[in-house]
Amino acid sequence: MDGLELLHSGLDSLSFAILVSRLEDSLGINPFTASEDAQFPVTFGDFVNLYEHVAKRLGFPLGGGQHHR
Amino acid sequence: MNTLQNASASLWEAVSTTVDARDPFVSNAETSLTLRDLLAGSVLGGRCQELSGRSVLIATTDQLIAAAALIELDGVARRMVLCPPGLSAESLPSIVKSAEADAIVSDRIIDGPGTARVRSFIHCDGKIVPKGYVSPGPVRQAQGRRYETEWVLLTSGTTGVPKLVVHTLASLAGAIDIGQPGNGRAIWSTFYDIRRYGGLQIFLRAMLTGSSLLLSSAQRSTADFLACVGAHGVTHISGTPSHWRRALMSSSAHLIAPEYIRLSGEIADQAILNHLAQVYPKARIAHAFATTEAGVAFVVNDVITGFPMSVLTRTPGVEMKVENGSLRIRSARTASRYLDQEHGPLMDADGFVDTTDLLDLRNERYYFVGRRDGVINVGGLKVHPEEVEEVINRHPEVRMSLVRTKKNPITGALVVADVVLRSAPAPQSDGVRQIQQDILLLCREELASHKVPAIINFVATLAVAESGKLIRRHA
Repeated sequence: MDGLELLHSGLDSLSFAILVSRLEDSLGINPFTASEDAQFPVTFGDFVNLYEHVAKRLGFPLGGGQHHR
Repeated sequence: MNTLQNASASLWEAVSTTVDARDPFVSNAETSLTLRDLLAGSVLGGRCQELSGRSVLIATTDQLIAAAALIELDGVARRMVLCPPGLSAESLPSIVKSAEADAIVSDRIIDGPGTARVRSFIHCDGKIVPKGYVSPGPVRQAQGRRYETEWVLLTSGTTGVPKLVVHTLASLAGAIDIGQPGNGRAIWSTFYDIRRYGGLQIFLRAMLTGSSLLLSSAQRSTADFLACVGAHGVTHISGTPSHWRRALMSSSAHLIAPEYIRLSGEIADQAILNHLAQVYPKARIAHAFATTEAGVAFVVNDVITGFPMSVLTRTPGVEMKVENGSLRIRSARTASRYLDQEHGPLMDADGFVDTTDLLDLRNERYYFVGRRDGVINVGGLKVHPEEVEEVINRHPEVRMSLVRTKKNPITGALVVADVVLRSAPAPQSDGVRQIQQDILLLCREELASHKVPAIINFVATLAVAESGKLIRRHA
């Protein structure tokens, strides 16, 4: 699952934009705007790591469960 | 800068002067046509002369056929209407009527109400009628009369019916430096469709400078397109910031090695500029400001979001000013008018086009902060709030609604709807969720996907001005 490319996940840009917006509403963080140098994720694993990294940096616990590898 | 000098030259004639031993190509990756073949033959099955002086709808699925038809018909047709992909069948009758179209060029069957006045239907399958056929050049000489063809581009309107914006080849090509050294060496590509203003700029840039062009395709994935771009050795490539964000999310992003990257159509934020600079360190990165109505205004080359204050006064050939907070532009690159009168004048009495893009001045640099007319830009596609509100308000439980923008790092913006219901069900109740689903269903049936609200909030009230109009905050 971690290696799944986001562009092959069935989500188009609009769907991905909505996902990021909803995650911002529920988690209170948006890693894409937290830094102008944040990398664009290529895989699902990159995407989760991006959120985990920013949450850790900001001292936010990510609610709603663990990311299992 | 050396622009198209002879305003009376047609695109066919201008391309004829650029083709040399390199013999540039136009390709959609599956089919490749050399400019020499295009100039010598006909994609219209040899029926070019039949369209002399006519108003022609170019409504092809394939961009390559559209490209060939544009070269063949400019200077021959009185008017060419460039139908963008995804144009709804419902829009067609009003476009045919407004454009007084009496001919259609297409690679598919187009009929139905509203097309009765069309006398000629030219079916193109992309094949070039070979040598021996009377090519457009001799046609022009024989007919003794040529036209400064109107190029009509479609842009979204408040009601969902597209606005028809009238340009000429000269106004469209006004920002293209055809005399720049090394022009013909470039291989251009664009994520845009060439039937839209941003893509048309790249098409003309390639054709008028004797460069090759690789076209995109809506059917091809981002990864496949990037692989094609890499395989064709593309040196110059353009797209919206949203196109580029999607490209950078692809593992194929490393397959391309452009020398020049151009962004337009949306605000280029600092994050996307930084990312592109990081991934393509050897590329020159520029972001341009252009609109279908105002034309190309300026290009920013310092890889910083916004633009220096000096751009307003020091851009050759383009006059700009900020009035009531919005950018206004006057130049030979602006469109001349809307074809349908109902949209009113395109420019003010002094010839300035109000872009309605609001600017904020900070430390001698201007930044784009929104639109006065509330238009939302989702990945380079415009959304008029009124069009979405009209659909939402059809729901029997809805009293009123306000559609607004929400910033988004992937598509630049998303559509958000604040909705007041006739009766207030308990928050989070099944009733509320059902209404939310019903509204979304209604919107999905009636609107293009980028216009469907990403978020629907139920609110108790909306601010209404004394005039009775909703108060909109756009910046």
